[in-house]
Amino acid sequence: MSTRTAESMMRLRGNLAALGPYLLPRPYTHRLWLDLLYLLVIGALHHTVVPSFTRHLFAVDLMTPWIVATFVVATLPRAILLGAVAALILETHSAAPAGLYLCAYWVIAVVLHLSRSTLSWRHVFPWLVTLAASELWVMVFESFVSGVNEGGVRFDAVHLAKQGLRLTTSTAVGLMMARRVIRDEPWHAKGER
Amino acid sequence: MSDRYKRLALVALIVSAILSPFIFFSSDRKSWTSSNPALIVLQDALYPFERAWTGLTGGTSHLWRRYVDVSEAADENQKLRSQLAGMQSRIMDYEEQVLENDRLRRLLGFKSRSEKRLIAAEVVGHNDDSPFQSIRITRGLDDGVKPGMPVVAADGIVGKVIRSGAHFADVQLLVDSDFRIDVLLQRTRVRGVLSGAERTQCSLSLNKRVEIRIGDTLITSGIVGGFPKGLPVGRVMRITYESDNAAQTIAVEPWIDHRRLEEVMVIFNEDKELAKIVETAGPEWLNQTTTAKPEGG
Repeated sequence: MSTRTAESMMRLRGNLAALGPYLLPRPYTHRLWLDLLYLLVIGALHHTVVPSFTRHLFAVDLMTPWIVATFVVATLPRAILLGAVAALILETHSAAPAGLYLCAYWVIAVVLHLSRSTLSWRHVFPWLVTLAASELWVMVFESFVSGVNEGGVRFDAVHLAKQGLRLTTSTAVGLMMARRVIRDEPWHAKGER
Repeated sequence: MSDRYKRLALVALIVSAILSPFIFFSSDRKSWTSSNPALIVLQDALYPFERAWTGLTGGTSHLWRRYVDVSEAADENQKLRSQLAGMQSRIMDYEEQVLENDRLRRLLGFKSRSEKRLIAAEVVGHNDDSPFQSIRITRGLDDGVKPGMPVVAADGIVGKVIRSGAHFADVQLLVDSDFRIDVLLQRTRVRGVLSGAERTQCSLSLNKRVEIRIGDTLITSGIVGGFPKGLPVGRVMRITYESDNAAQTIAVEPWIDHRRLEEVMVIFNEDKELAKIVETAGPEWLNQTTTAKPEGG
């Protein structure tokens, strides 16, 4: 290999390494434009790619774990802004009543803002509980609203199995997102929280 | 910030979190319409991605289907040739009936269904795994598609446009829990309001005395909602008698399987009566009717 080719390869490797962090999205990057861009990507995956893999048999919620991870690390104003955008992405892409996800995410944002300083986010367990509880809250709220529209909440085995699958998969996806946050956040290095 | 203000902000946050569900439930719980520029930006931002994904998956599955189909084509071709001969004579018969029907319609002064302006659209997104079911189609305000317009497919009705972007529109499906449509039982001509339920079914509540059978077909009544009269909606699957001994709840399976929809038609609602109402009540009225619920519903 000539010196010139080796130099080009080195440069290419350097550029790829610099692009790396952008290619692997993570919740809350401290850059607003990047956070908004990632939200759109998550929204697009949530609405197009994921349903085609699950064959529309059950839902996998990518948005809620992503926004929960954001609420844990972001400042309150930034968390509110990103939560509102996430909710609007969901609401403007379905027949969901306006304000459904805004309301659900607002409650999660406030509860997490009040409780996050008392939990140790370096460990997996608080993430597990937070992600599962948040997903459960969104599911219950959705079911309640659709129950009000339909005149009754469904409790059949198939529906409950689908909801269970959604809870499990979304929590698992959230834990994968949380691993990146645990690794990258300053508390890991400083031993905080 | 002083401690006092911090405490006040904290109390405000807690109060707002407690009140927000109540505020939400006290609202009219309609879907977003496209009047807000911020919402239009958010809707449009996802559209290119959806379009690209549908193109990619559609292209791949089309190639695969073609490969599989070629092996079966020879046998099918043979069968089709024999069927074709029989069908040609039936088509001639059918054409004669269409002409006769047209003549009779004109005599009775009815507007022919084919006179309605239709526009074909491709389905680029499904949102049918949440309780609020909709699809996204490739026609929008640029093509004249507006909220409230009925959407149909070859087998029956699909739903109604609830939001329009420049190049796309969101369609609330017939099976969405918030969808209501006026229907007729084809056999007995009894009217009722059909509502979406359970994701793949609809439900209809009627007086117990109404005679109904499993397999009966429901059609649009053409009275409200802009759907032309006589479009197939679904068939009766199950009848449940309520404990009050006065009503029966009918589970209806739509003719359309919305999960398999690839192309739909938007009907340009040129109903003069409707236009008159919109002119009098303002364009907001049309938005209200897209999610209107019957009394007590």
